[in-house]
Amino acid sequence: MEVKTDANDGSRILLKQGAEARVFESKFAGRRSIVKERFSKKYRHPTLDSKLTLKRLNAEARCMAKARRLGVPTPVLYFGDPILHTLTFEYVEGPAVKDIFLEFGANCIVEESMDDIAVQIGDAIAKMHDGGLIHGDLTTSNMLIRSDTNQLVLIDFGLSFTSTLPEDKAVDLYVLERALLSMHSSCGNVMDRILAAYRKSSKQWSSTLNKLAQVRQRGRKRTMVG
Amino acid sequence: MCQATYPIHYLSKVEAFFLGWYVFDTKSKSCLCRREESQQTTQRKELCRYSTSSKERLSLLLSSRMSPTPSLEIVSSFNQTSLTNLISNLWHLRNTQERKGVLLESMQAGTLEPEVALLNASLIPDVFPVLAAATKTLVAKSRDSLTTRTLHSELVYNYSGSKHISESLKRCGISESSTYVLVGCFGASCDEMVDIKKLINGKEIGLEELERRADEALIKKHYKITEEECQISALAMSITCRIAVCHAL
Repeated sequence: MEVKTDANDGSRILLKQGAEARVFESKFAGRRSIVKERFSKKYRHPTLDSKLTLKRLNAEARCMAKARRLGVPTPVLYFGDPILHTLTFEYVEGPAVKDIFLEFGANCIVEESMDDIAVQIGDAIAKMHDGGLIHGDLTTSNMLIRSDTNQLVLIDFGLSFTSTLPEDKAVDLYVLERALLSMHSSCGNVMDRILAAYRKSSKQWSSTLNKLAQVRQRGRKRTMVG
Repeated sequence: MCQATYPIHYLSKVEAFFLGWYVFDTKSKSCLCRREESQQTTQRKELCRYSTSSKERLSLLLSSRMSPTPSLEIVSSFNQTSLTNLISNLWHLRNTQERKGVLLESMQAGTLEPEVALLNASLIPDVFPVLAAATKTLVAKSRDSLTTRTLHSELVYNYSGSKHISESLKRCGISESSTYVLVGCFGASCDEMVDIKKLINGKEIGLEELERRADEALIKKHYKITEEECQISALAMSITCRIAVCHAL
C-alpha cells in the first residue's frame, strides 16, 4: 500500500469529512474531480472492517451506475479503487439545492426556478423508485444543480439499496419531507410540488403515497410491537 | 494490394504481443486468446514465421485478405503527450525504472519495437474514457495485479467495461475486418512513435475525428446504454462510468 495515491498530482484538498468517508477535491486525467475515501474504523476488527468498507464502496458505485441507467443524473464515476477504498467522481460545478432554498428563504422566492427544481426532484425520485432503487439519504444537501444546464444531480449513494417495496419508497420520501420541513419551512410547501411531479412520472405512485400517509403517522421506524 | 509487414515485439517467453489478438507462445505455439479454430485462424498461423535474422523476433506477413480495404487507418498516434504525462504523473519513479527495464530487455533481445494497444476506434467517442481505462490499468500494474498478460492488452480489456477477457479483446481490440483503430502506447518516446507509425500501415487521422466517426449504435449495444441514460449524459461519460464500475459488479 505504499502506492502514492492515484490519479492526482499529489494535491488533494479536503472538502468535507463525515462519519464514514472524507471528500477531497483532486485532478483526474486533467479534469477536476472529487475523491471520496472511506477510511477504516479502528474499533472494528481489521478483517471485518476491510470487508465492510469494500462492500459499501462497491454498493455505492453499483447504485450510482444503476441510477444513471434509469435516467437519473448522477456525477460520472471516473475511477474506483478497491485497495485504497476511494471513488473518484466528476466535479459537478454548481450549488447545492440546500443553498438555493436557503437563499430563497432569506430573500424572495423565485417561483420559476423553484418550480423547475421541485419538478426535477420529483421526476428523478420517481424514475429511481420505479426502477427499484432507493436513495436512502434524500436531503437537499445531496442534490446539486449544474450551473451550466440547470440539471439536477443526485449525489451520495452511500446509503442506497435496491428494493421494490412501497414501504421503503415511502420512507425515502418521508426522509426528504422531514428534511425540507426542518430546513426550508420558509420556502412554502415544496414537498407538495415534489409529490405532484412524482405522481406524474411514477407508474406506481398510488401504493407509495398511501404508504407515505401511514409512515407520516408512525414515523420512519416501524413499530416493533407484536 | 497492400502487403504490410508487422514486426512483432517479443519481450520474454510469453510476454505477449498482439496482433488481431492472436497471442502465440513460442514453445507451444498455442493461441492464448482462444477462439474457434476457424479456417482463417489456421491460415493465419501459417502466415506466421520466425524470421531468421533474430531469434526473438517474429515477423508476420499480412496479406490484404485480412483487411478488406487496402489501408489500415490509424487515428493519430494516440495522445502521446497526455498518456506520457499521465504516467509520469502517476508513477514517476516506477515508470522510469520499468521503462528502462523494458528497454534493456528488448535491447538485449534485439528488438526495439514498442508494445502498443490497438483499440477498435468505432467504440471510442472521446479520449477521456481511454484515459480512465489507462489509469485503471496503471494502478493495476503498480500492484502487479494485471488481469491480462500485458499492460497494453490490459488497457483494451479495461476499456471494454466487461469481465470477459477474450470477449473484450475481440470486441474492443482489432479483428480481421477492422479498418479504423486507435493505437495507444504507454510512455512512448519520439523514436517509438516513429516505430509505431512504421508498425501500422495506414493513414493517420486527428483525434478530433473520434466523435464524428464513432459508431453510436454499436456503442449503445456493447455498453448496454439505455435511452434514458443517453438523455442525461454524453456517450463518453456513460462509457467512463461502465469502465469504473466494472470491477464492482
